Amino acid sequence: MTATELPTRPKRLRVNLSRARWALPLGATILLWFVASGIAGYLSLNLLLDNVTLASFVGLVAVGQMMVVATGDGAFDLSIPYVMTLAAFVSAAVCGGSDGNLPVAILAGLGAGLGAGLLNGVLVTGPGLPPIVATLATGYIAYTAILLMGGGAQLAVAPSLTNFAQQSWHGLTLAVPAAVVIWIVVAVVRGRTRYGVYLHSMGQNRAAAALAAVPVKGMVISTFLFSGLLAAIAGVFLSGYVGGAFPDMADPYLIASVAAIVVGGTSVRGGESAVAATIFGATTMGLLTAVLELSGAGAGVQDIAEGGVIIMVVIAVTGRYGAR
Amino acid sequence: MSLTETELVPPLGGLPVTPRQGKKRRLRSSGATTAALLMVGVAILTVTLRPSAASSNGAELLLGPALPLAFASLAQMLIILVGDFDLSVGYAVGLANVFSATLLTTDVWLGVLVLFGIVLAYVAMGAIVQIFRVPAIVVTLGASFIWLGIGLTVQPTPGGTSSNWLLQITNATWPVLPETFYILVAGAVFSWWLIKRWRYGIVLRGLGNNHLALESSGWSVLRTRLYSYALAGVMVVIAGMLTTSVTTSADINASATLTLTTFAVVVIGGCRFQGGVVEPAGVVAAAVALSLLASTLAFLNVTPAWDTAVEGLVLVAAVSTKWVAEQVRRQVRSR
Repeated sequence: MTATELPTRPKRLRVNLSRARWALPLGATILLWFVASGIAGYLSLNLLLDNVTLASFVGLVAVGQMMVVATGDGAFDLSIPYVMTLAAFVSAAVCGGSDGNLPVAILAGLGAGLGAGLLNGVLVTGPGLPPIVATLATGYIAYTAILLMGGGAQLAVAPSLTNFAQQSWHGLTLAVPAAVVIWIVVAVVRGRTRYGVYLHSMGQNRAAAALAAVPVKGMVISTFLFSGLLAAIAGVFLSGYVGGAFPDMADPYLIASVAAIVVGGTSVRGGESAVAATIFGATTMGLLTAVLELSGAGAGVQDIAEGGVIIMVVIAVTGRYGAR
Repeated sequence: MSLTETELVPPLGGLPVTPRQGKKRRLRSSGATTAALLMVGVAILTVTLRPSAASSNGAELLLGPALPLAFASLAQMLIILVGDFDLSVGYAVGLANVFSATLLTTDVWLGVLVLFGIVLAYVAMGAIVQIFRVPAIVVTLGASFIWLGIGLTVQPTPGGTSSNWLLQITNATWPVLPETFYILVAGAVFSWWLIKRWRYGIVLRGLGNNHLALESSGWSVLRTRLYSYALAGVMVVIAGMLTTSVTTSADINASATLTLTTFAVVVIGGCRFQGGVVEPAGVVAAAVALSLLASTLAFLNVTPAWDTAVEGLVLVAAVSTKWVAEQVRRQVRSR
């Protein structure tokens, strides 16, 4: 090796753990699994696998949230829980509790998610509503649609959707491989395509990205569409998994989606994204809830712990990666 | 592109104007005027639908729900003033409601202590936002779950009661107009004084307008932000106590939807989401307008399910109207 030779590509398999953002949340997941097993009294693999199924729902919406957050400008999608529920209600209403037109019903649910995403994107890029206000407004409009559709009550879902979503292998349901496929697609899009470069550039400096001919408004709309679609997929799947669509079925998913990003170590200021870290962030938060439940903490204490963890981790992460 | 565009457009009062003209223009462009007109319009609609609403008792009943909303919106306004958003305001008001309907009735001093704790918690949120430079959205979102958790631990199901003296606050008889009206005016006047007349008010506005300019002219950004969060905390506590006084029970989930409503109120009231420009009188007028609108919908036999959607739609309509007006004004000016 001569001195003039340029450094070659690093070897693929060598992982620099100090730079791998997913390592920390993965470690936290394993640690919490041990803690939970300690409370339960034995090393329970089912506990972990059950958690993976739940984390796959959270991980789906969290990845959508991550794309929105990556655009910067303080963007968050607060409509996620309402869009999940709306998609579940729309698909349940279309199929009317029978298997007859299940494909149409699922497509209608996903269409509702895309519609909500489009509304978010248009409200943000058109009249210039701050994203959190626009998405909150969309969410409330969706919530009214939910109440009007179900009369405030539960709607039955197609039996075959329930069968499909509840089919499991040691607690691992089909939601997990489905989510993995979507995660891989997102990881490739964000890491290997022009779209990903645009996404991160506008999150880092929107004015500079606009001058560099990044279609800023289109990008913002596309991330909201994306988040709406993923929320709809998760919502329809969740309604099958829990065996019905009911008005507050997705309530925990807003804080969970933000927590997954924060605990995954991604900056909430935008300009970066990390799929694996976000997923392990979701499993960490899921196991934290499991630990609290096992130790007999009430719903109130669980809320306090989740909120506290978010605030503490966001401080730690910002301290670690430094303010821009 | 749009950044430079807005900078190049001359300000509205570009040409020299007489003080009288200036006053007229300010009145016309002020968001408070729109909110006041909306309030009067909705009030007329309400009275037309139900003439009994104009009686002293009817007005008292109708204006009751406006009280917590007005003060919660003033809290949100103080946070937006410095350029932040408060996603926790709904649950924070709910927590103040829970404290004042449980601990405050059993032990006054303990109640005062925990209510003061809410103000301190707001100061802590401001400190975290400023010192660690983390987005206020995440901090307040996390905090909202802490408020919810504490509220559920203290009072898991709706219950509690209001102490007599707290009940008296909103149910006393005052001359000429219902008492609720005086409380609303007091809230508006006090916040107006805070922001437009208090010597620190201009510093608060400066932080939202241009924090770099504020910093380089020697003001402490940290101290300014803490002032705004502390004042918002005080407004939250007042809103929570008024909730107890009006509803005579503790229910943290009842205040959950307040967060979106405060955003709607703040934008209709003529404040700028980017910070720096707020209108306390407009905010109070918009709060009254929106809560009257909810009762009007009930008079029109609209199912309560529509309430949340109407709030969202009013918010979108208000912002879109402003945006269209801005576009038209820009077109006219460039001609």
